[in-house]
Amino acid sequence: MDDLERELRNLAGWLQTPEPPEVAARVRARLTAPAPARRRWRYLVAVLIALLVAVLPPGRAAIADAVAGLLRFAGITIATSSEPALPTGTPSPLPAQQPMALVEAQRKVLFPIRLPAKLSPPEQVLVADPDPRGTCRVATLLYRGGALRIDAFDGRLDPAFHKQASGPGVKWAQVNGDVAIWIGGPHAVAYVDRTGTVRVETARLAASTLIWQEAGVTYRLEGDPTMAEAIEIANSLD
Amino acid sequence: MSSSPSEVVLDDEELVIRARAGDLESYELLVARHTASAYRTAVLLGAGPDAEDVIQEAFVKGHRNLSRYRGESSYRSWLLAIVANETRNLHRSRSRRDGLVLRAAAADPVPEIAGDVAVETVLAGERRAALVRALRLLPVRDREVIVCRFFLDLSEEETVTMLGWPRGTVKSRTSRALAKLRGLLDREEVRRG
Repeated sequence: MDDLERELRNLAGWLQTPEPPEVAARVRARLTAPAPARRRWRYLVAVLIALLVAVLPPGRAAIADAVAGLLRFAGITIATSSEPALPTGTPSPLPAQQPMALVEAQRKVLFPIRLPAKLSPPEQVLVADPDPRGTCRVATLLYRGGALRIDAFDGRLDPAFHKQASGPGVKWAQVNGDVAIWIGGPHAVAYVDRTGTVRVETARLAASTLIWQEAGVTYRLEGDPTMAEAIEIANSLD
Repeated sequence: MSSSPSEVVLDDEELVIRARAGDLESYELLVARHTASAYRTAVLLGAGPDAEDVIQEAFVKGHRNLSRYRGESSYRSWLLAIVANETRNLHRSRSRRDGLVLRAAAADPVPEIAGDVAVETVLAGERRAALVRALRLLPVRDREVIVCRFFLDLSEEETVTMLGWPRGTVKSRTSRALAKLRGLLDREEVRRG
């Protein structure tokens, strides 16, 4: 280290910095104030609804025009097309998916894993796609011998699922007063990895699915329930 | 193991995980812990009287972006990067840049000295004033790297995170800034003769 560098380091102690202010309380007040981002989000959803209504009028003929219509919702992309594009072959599971006790699984993901009060405890809990530090991206709860599943992931990040829905089965719904999407009927679903690539090998035929978001976490409930039943389960998240 | 959870001092990583899960209490602890260094950073980068607003904004944005913090750098340098960015935004809307202010003589840590020592003290004081004048003349990016490496004492790695430049740029910018500073000081010495 030469003289100038030493002088500069020494100068640091001579530079005046006023007493630091107390900002913690004010920061907290701002964080608990109703977030403007949320209002923007609602506005966006309103635009999306308007768009969807515009591009998806009822009737099969009009649906064909919506082939290019890609809907993004809470970290899930939904491509609608008139022709059902169904996956073939045996789908592989999500990357590095493994079963785990609930407590252990909670340590693996950065969002809280919430259980619906309407259902008994899950029969199995899975986590998938860990980063180099072991933090997983998706948590999955399985019920009814796997006939009902709930996937959860941080939907504020990049999309994690890509859906190929066909027909007029895509509907807006409401969970806890917020917008949700119901896809009534079988459709293809594939996992979108961290790089944004759709993992074709994970593509499988999904049953009817309800998609909603709460506190930044996106949930997709898939299985045998009707739309009303699915919403009831979604509303009961603890 | 009888220590209750409240006695455990949580490290930044742990607080980040909790804050990300929605625990505002943990985030408030992080804010309190890093207020002083965030504030000093904003002041030294030239935020002046706006330093308080800058760090408040940085903490609010930091909370919003917490999900993007992957832990590949320390939380501190990640946060300081936001502070640096906010300070830059400030400069865009304001032409004047202040921040490098020498302590008033009254706060001089070596008071009441007589004779040769006093003369040396005066000379040292003049030299420091000259350094600050020269620093004020440096372009923003040169000053930023000097502030990081010498005033905030950040490592090269931390400086990479904070300024968002490649490692090579941090290295070359540091030596270039030092060379410019030397040039400015030489010129000043010649002028004062």
